Amino acid sequence: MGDERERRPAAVRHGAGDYTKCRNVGVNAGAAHSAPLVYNAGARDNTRHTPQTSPGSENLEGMLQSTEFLRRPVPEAASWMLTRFTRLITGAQARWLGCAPVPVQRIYFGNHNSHADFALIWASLPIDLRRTTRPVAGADYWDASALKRYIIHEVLHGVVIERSRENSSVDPVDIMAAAVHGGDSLIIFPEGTRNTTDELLLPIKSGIFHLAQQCPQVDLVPVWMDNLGRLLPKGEIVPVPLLCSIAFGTPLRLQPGEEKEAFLARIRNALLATRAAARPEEA
Amino acid sequence: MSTLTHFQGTLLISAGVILLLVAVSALGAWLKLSAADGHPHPLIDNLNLRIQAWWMMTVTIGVALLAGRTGVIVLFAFVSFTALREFLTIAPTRRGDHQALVMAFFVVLPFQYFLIGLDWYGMYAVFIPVYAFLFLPILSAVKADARNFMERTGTIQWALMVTVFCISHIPALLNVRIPGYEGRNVFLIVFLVLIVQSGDILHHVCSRICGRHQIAPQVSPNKTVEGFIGGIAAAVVLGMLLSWMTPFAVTEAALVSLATTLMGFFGGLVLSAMKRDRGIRDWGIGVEGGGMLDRVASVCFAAPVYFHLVRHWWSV
Repeated sequence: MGDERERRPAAVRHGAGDYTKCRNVGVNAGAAHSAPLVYNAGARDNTRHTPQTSPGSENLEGMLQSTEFLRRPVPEAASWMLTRFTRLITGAQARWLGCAPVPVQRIYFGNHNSHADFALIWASLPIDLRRTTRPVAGADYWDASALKRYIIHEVLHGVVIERSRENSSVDPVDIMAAAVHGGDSLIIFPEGTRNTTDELLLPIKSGIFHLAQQCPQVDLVPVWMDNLGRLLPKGEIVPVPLLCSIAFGTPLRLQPGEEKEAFLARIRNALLATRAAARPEEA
Repeated sequence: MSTLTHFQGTLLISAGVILLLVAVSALGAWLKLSAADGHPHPLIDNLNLRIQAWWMMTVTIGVALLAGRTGVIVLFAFVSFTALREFLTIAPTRRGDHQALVMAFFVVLPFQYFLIGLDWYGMYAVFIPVYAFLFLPILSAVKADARNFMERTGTIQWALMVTVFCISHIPALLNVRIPGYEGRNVFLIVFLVLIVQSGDILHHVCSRICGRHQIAPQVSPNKTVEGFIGGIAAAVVLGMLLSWMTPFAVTEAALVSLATTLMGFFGGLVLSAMKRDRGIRDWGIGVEGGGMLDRVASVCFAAPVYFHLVRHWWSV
């Protein structure tokens, strides 16, 4: 399957409609070559995109999508269970304060307190958005065991990147951009690592700036989650069933000519503004 | 009226409650159509949300009563769980409290209801006030994080007292043995819930209609002297009317209703002060129309006092 992917040019692999959403800024080569690196090249990608290679097959694709659960029963069931389980444990209801849950290509960026952050953002998306939204995850954690590998690749359909550059010859930002150019939405955590301090946010890493540079036409949506870090602090085994909250804020984009520092400050403020909007009582 | 059989009593009270709910639901729908013209209207929408909650409450309690003693205990354990979750969600706990929180949810809460099931009064009366009180802070202290320690441990204990200890006194009413009242203990629960809820409702209505003098504007702007008088008067009158379902004489029912509804009122006030302190409007993040704790705040404070009154004066 991987071979087939490589042979087809990116623009054919992915629907043209999605493709034009994001201007392709000099990463075409990266997109084509990085396909095998984006580890999950497997079943799900093919079921979604293969029918588009033959013209006039939209109905067929719709049919195949709706019967996807028949052909991938285990990951689909796992995904359903993960969604239900996350909603049950966190008790969180998504609040769309700055935008609507519509099927538009986006990069969701959230505050990062817990390994469950992915799952909560992902479970909060309606099913049609969930199918095209991929969490970006660190290979050091998620490729560490067979179960984690299965969850991140097969269930969450994640984009796995090497966080330390020594292990990777490819810039992780290129891998993320390739996924965006392929028409998918992303879930990223611009702090780069989990925040276990008492501060609201760690300093924002520059990765989101470089990603925005490569995909200036894609909306960046801030997501604020509360309490997930309290649910299961680092090193604990049993989660406490506290209520969590998740809010989606007002989208933003990189402005033409915007400096890195100014953009990172806007990212930070967008997260804090989403937090403030989610709890108006404190004002 | 005391000649009513258990079955006739059940029928009468179910029919009464359901008729009342149908009436207020119709009223709510009529208000929505005529006064609000189908548009959003905070007051009427709030009323309709409350009516929905009463339906839910009535159906749930009805099903639990049908399921018998175990059903009632499980129902209130679930109520406690939900309320404890809402309370601790806004508590200022830290990483070091994690094990104490795990214990509170998964050991203290189930064990308290297990003790109620065993009917071991000597233990369930002291388990949380003494043993949870002593051992949970130890779990937090060994984590060696002293920041806000007093506030943190105090809040966890408070959460358990209000949401587990107090609420568990509702199913504990099934344990009280009253001569000549055998097999009808569930009506003690129905009576308590009806009195406190109707006190709440009438308080709300009187405050809206003729509320002028706020009791504690800093804490809860909705609580007024007029609502207080109206709510208490209504609860006492209802208590006298419903005395046939209790072991109380009519005047006794009035006094018990008075004590219960007073505690209910002040319970609501105390929990409002906590919400105000934490900067939230309703318990239960994201739950439309407030969480479980908004519904049961009054009953929390009323339940232990009602339980002790009944147990002290009517039990053997």
